[in-house]
Amino acid sequence: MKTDQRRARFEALAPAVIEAVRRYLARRTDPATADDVLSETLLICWRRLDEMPAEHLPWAYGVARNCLANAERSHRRQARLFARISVLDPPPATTDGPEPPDEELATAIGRLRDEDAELLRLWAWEELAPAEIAVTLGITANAASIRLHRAKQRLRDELRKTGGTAGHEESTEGRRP
Amino acid sequence: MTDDDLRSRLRNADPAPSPAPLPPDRVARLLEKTMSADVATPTTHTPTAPRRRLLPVLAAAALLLIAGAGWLIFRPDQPIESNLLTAPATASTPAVAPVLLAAPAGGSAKCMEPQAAHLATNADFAFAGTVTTIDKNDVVTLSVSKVYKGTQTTLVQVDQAPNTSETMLGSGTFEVGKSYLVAANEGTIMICGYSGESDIPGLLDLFEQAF
Repeated sequence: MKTDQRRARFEALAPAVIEAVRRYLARRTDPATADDVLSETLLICWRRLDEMPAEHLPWAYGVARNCLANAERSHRRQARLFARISVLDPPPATTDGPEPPDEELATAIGRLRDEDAELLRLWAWEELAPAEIAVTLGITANAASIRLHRAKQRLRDELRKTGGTAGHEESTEGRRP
Repeated sequence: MTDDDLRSRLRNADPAPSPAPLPPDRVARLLEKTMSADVATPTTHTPTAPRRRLLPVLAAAALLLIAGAGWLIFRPDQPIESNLLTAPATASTPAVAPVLLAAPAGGSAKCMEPQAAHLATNADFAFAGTVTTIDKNDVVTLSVSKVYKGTQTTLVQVDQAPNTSETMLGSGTFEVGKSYLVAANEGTIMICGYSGESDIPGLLDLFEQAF
């Protein structure tokens, strides 16, 4: 029966997709949004199972990315309202929690464009090759390759800048012949 | 700074380097919830939590609708009906008139895992029987060995539409000489794992659990 085959195929590939997409979402959003977006991503994978390529993770990341963008669009509306409220009625100043271990990197990434930062995350965190990044982002492999190369270069430049002001040892590395 | 240095530095900042895997029962629930969704109608909006809880209910309602439509389309026509009613009379069996059932069209229904509770609440007639004859109008006659629920009878006739396939667990359709467990709702056979050859693993357990 076709339905049974479909179910069997989905049941076989879903656990790996669930784990990968959960991590992808845990790195990019809050737990509640991650739960919602995971459910929706799975639903789309189930419905479009026939379109899923053999290398299904990059494709699934692409679906999750779009679902997350949708979810965040509606969050942003709430956030704008919240921002207005906090300007009118600011909460008492609090001290930050524990410092993130690599403040310098966070700052450097923060200065990059969103597209570049996401390319680097897909490369380093999801461990995707340029061709897989291309599937996730819906661009050509060539474009992914070039953009990734440039994003790395920009991150290096940013790190050098921040490292330079902090007297970090890496500030000299780039100038070596 | 080489690519490898850059990558490992980024990796050190990974906020979710090795999250605990989801417990298997949560994975199973997530899968079941996902696969109970209708494949044919893609939607793009984000389902909110209460609606996702409603999904199995909606799926069940859709199934009932499909079964109802099947009954409307495949219910026996007038001439067949009179044949069916007279047949046992000429055989001079004073027993009760046979129960007439319709077989729904297969293929369009998407099924959830069969559940005894669903069977118990939705089936108004359930029996075990053996196919004795299938006539040229595709009317299947079963001699009943046990009635689990509903009208006590010894004979059931099913109007099996010519294109019916994959509705029964096992070979897909009724075959002469084989034994079946059949559940029906308002005159239409319940498919999706609720009716089939009686030696299908689990089906007998399902019936005994439900009734």
